Amino acid sequence: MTYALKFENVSKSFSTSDAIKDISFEVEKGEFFSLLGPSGCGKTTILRIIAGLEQPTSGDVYINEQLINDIEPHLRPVNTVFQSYSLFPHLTVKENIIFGLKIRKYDKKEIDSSLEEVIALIDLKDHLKRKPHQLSGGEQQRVAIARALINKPEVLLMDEPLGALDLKLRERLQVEIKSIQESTKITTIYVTHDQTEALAMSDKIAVMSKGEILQVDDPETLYEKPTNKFTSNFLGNPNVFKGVIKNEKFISDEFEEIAVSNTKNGPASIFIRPEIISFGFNKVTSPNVNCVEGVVEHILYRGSWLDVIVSVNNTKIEISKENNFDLSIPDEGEKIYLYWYINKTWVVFDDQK
Amino acid sequence: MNRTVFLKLNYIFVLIFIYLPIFLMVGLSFNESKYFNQWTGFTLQWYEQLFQNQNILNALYNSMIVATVSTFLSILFGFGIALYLFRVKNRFTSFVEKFIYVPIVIPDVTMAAMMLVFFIFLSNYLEIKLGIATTIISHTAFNISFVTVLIGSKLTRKLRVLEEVASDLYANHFQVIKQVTLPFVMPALLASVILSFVLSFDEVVISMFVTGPGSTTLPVYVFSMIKKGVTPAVNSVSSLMLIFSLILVTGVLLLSRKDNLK
Amino acid sequence: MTRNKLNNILGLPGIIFLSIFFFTPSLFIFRYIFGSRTRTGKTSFDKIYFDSFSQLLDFNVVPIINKSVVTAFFVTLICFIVGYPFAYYIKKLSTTMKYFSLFLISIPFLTNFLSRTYSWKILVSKNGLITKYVSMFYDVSSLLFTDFAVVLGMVYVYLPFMILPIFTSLENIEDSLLESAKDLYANPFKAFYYVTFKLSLPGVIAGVVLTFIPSLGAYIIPQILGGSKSMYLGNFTVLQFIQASNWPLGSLVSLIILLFMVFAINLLFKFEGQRNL
Repeated sequence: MTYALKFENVSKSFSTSDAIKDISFEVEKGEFFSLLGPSGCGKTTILRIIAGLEQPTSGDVYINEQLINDIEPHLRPVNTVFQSYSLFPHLTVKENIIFGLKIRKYDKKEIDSSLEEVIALIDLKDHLKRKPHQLSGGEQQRVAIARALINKPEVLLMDEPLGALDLKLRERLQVEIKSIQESTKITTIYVTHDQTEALAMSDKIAVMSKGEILQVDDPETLYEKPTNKFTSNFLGNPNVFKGVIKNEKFISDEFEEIAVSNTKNGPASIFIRPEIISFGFNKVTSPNVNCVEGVVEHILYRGSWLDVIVSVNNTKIEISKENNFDLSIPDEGEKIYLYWYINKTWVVFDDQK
Repeated sequence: MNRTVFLKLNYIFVLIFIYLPIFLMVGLSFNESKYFNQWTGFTLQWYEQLFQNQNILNALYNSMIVATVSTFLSILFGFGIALYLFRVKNRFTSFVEKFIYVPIVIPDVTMAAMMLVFFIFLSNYLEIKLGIATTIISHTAFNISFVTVLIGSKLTRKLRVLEEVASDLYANHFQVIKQVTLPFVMPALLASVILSFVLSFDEVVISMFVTGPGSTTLPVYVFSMIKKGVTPAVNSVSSLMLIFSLILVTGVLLLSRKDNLK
Repeated sequence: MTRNKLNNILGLPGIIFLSIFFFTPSLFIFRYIFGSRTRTGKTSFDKIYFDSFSQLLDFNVVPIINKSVVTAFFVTLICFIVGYPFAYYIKKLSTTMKYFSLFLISIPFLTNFLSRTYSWKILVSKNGLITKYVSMFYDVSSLLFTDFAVVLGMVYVYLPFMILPIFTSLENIEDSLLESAKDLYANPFKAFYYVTFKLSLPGVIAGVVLTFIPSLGAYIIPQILGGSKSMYLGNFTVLQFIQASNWPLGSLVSLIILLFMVFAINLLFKFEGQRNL
């Protein structure tokens, strides 16, 4: 396998937060790789180490099989899209975009053709002569992306590039960035704390917490088969119950027996995602499903979907349902039955990290 | 009395208080009469006499040299220190960061005394004479701090990020300074050039201590004239000095306003 | 070249310059304090003398200190009484007027100090505008060379030093704070005292220090407006150096001025520190 980027037991300690401990991972050529985690988990530090803006305390970093630990930032074949756009305020959009080429003394022809190429990907034609402060946030971020992309880096680093934008714009740029990445095949490391963003865009996601990588997987595996509590909690908004697994049954204070498909026994938590739970007004009995009885406590109308909070045995289960024509909305206080597939009940044992 | 009326009256009073003496002085410098309490007509004769006064011209020449050279040196040293403090963080630099304020806040009489005793003490061992050179050194010693603080206030986190962007985009250390740092601090740099020139050009007490015969600066010479009394010559030279620094200071204020708007 | 080397090349020349031409001279002051004035006016260092300390009493320096402190106190007080309402008023002006007023106040903050002091001399000298006005009530022919003229001159010169920091701290107070105070039933006076005034205290303290320190060590103003007989710390020091050739005593008094300054600035930092807790 050829990797574009490899971390080998990299640590970096700070007096404050954002330290990383013994990080190892590989990123394949052309991969869209996300570092996902809450703020302060060390994801930006990893990015800065790749860019050469921080030195690792120990460990090795390779780009294309080459050890780059001691290479100065301006000599590394990587480019970064920074969180706050950080366009040079004294330069025009065009001067910003071609900065990296000009610094390396490319001739005018090469610069012009590269500029055209990048503008074909990112539409900025009308803005080239403007100064950054005349642009909107979304436009500024496009310039920042173009400014990095034009250098055709081995690895493109993006540090929460959409963090400062509003939801609509963010979603639009997600699509744009993803399609640019797919057409250019540039290896991309994308830092974000937004799980939906990471899930939607990435080929692979590394979930981070407190300076460690907990799980690296493709989005689907990560969401459906998390190997640890943090990941299962951080992705989505699951109903979590703590108890014990015994003979393929989950037992806790609230529940007497919820069937699970694990054969292992021991203390564990179960995660039931709100969207896998269905409800009806009659009890469902099938060997494939769990069914519990509950009373509707609140209904939160969200437009395209509904969140229903159901009180079950002194605890609450949240379910969310797409708001389509088939859906018969229950009343608050009404008695309903909740049911879901047994194999969708996800179990994480306490001894798993 | 109504509160608003009081505030307004106070406002007007303060502005009159500040500007009346200045306008009066400038007005009087055009008064034909030698006596300031009677107006006999408009004249430029006092200014003409000023430019024939060899002492004043010499002093002006000295002042220009002192202000120019000390401005050049303090920008060179002060800008360097500001960049150094911005990029290097350790115990030594955090000490320098505090110490740099001392030359700004030290009373001019104290600084004058210590520069004088220093130069005289050295003159026992070295070939040193009080004159233009000692004045330039003393002015540079307090101007460096003003430059460092003024430029330092522009060396912000935002600039640090921009410098990182530039080095990420293949700029080496010198290119970073030339392409990013310098343009970013340019307004503050210009402002500190003007400010250190004005501070040096207007300085009296320290200059008085460390200049020697023949190297008197303009303010020191004018000060000795003022002690003798109110005369048309003082009115005119004083007005000129005031207007000169007024123009430069207005430049500084406009620069800093432009910088803040950006 | 490594990054560190480059940074050192940038910073060290200036730091070395300051060490030689600022830090070292400040040490010489201490050496001179323990010297002794010889008959020829030179200073002798053959042993450690304490002449300068005994001369503090012999030459009646203590009353001069008293007078300087009292004068600086009154100057600061007047600047505050006049300056605070001024800053308060311009904070409430429209943006254009606000910046224009600030501009008008900032100009004298930086323009030629000597000329401005001199312009005041015209007003208080014999037949000057202010002298004429005052002489309608009191029997004076000239206000020049009086302590009154010195105080007025200092207020004139240092007033912007009081106004600007107060304005800055007033400007930082959010209007919503005052509104919520009024919403919580504070009358205008209480709202002003508990919200505006208390929050502007850092500016007031900065203004007080910035006015008090230069007033205490002032030389030019007492010399021009007070005359040679009226002694303040600043012109007493200069006198020791320029005319009396008593450098040990001059050094000691200049150090005393410096100590007052250090004390005042410490006080400033203490207040700032408490506020930040």
